[in-house]
This record gives sequence, structure tokens and C-alpha cells, in this order.
Amino acid sequence: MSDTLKLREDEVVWQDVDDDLVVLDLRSSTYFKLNGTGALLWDLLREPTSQQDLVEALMSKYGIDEDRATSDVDAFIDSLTQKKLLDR
Amino acid sequence: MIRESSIHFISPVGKWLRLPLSQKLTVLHVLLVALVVEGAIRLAPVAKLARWLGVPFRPGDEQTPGAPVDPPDLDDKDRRRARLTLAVMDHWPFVEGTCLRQSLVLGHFFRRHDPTLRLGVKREDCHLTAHAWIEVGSATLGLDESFLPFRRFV
Repeated sequence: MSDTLKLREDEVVWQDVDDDLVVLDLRSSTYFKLNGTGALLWDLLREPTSQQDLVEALMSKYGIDEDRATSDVDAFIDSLTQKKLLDR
Repeated sequence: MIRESSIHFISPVGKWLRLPLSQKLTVLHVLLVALVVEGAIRLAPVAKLARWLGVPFRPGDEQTPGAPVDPPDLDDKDRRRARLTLAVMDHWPFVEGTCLRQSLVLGHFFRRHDPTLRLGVKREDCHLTAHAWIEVGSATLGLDESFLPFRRFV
């Protein structure tokens, strides 16, 4: 399994609604909402990136410690993996 | 009370019985397509289903290729089908919001005019609400402009 992660963008469409990013998964016909943190990670995942890069981006943007950032990134990646929206 | 609820129940049927034969058949056709859509929507991704029905989904920033700029001339049959489709979907018993089903059925009937299915979203109080409509040329059917169309990532 590669360490690089990338979104499957051709499977989804999106729209900004106020401060949230709403994503429609065209395969499951379901939509979900990303808050600011999720939107930041989502944006980074549009290009091939590593889990560590995501952790560092969260630490830099929100000034949180590594454990907290790692936990948030893991949860986000798990969620996208369950939705089959990530290429690894 | 029983009498009153019976009246509500038979009212659409009563209306149907009063229609001329050709419109009765159109309603049956609409019902058949709507039932197929109702079943298929639970099994197939909406974009794939829309493509099968002849009303492909396109994100809001994509134009309908080859579509006429002006609204197409809808003949009497088109108009009658549209009117009867809206009437049938107003009484649709399976779900509350029927905009997607209505758009797919209408789009299927208008497929020779190259319709496009659009999907949008808006915040309503604390909740997100999705909506579907179709575009035929520059005309829209079912559009509520408070909804923002989903877009493709570029």
C-alpha cells in the first residue's frame, strides 16, 4: 500500500454553503458536509499527499499538537476510505 | 371521519377516471416510468440512472452540449405529459420530496430536447437541503434559485 493519498475527484461534485463545503458522492448519491478543518484536508488531498503532510498542515493552521492533529487526520482519512473516495 | 378520508383517498383516482382516454393512458405511462425510477433510484447511482433515462446529470458550471439556446418548442403532447407528471408526483406516496423523481421522469419524456439534470443544495435553518431540476436549452423546470448547483472540481 502506498503512503500517498489522493481524492477520487471524478466521483464527486461540490458546493460552498456558507462556511462549509458540501460534497455530493455521485456513486452513492449521498452528500456530506465538511467543516473548515475537513475542507482544508480535502483541498490538500486533491493533489497526491502524505498523511504526515496533512498532520503538519493542521498543526500549522490551527496551532494544535501533533497527537491531536494525527487523530483528526486519521479520522478524516478513515471516513473518506469508508466512502471509497481515496486512492492510495 | 371514515367518509372524509375515503374521499381523500379516491380523489386522484376520481380525477383520473374523468380524464379522456388519451390522458388516462398518459397518466399510466407517467406512473410506469415513475415506478421504474422509484425502484431504480434505490439501486443505481443517480448520475448513471439519469444517463440511462436520457437526462444526464451535469454539474452547474457545465453547459449542455449542443443544446438550443432558446427553449425548445414543446408540442401539446409534451405539455400534457409535463402537466400530468407534475400531477402524479404531487400525489406520489413513497417519499416527501419528489423533485429528483419528478426531474428524472420529466427529463425522460423530454429526452429528445437534450435535457440536463442539475442538482443543488442550500442551508435551510440548521439543515442542508438538496434539490433537483432540469434544464432544456435555456429553460428550467423546477428551478428554485435559492439552491446553489453542485460543481465539478477543477
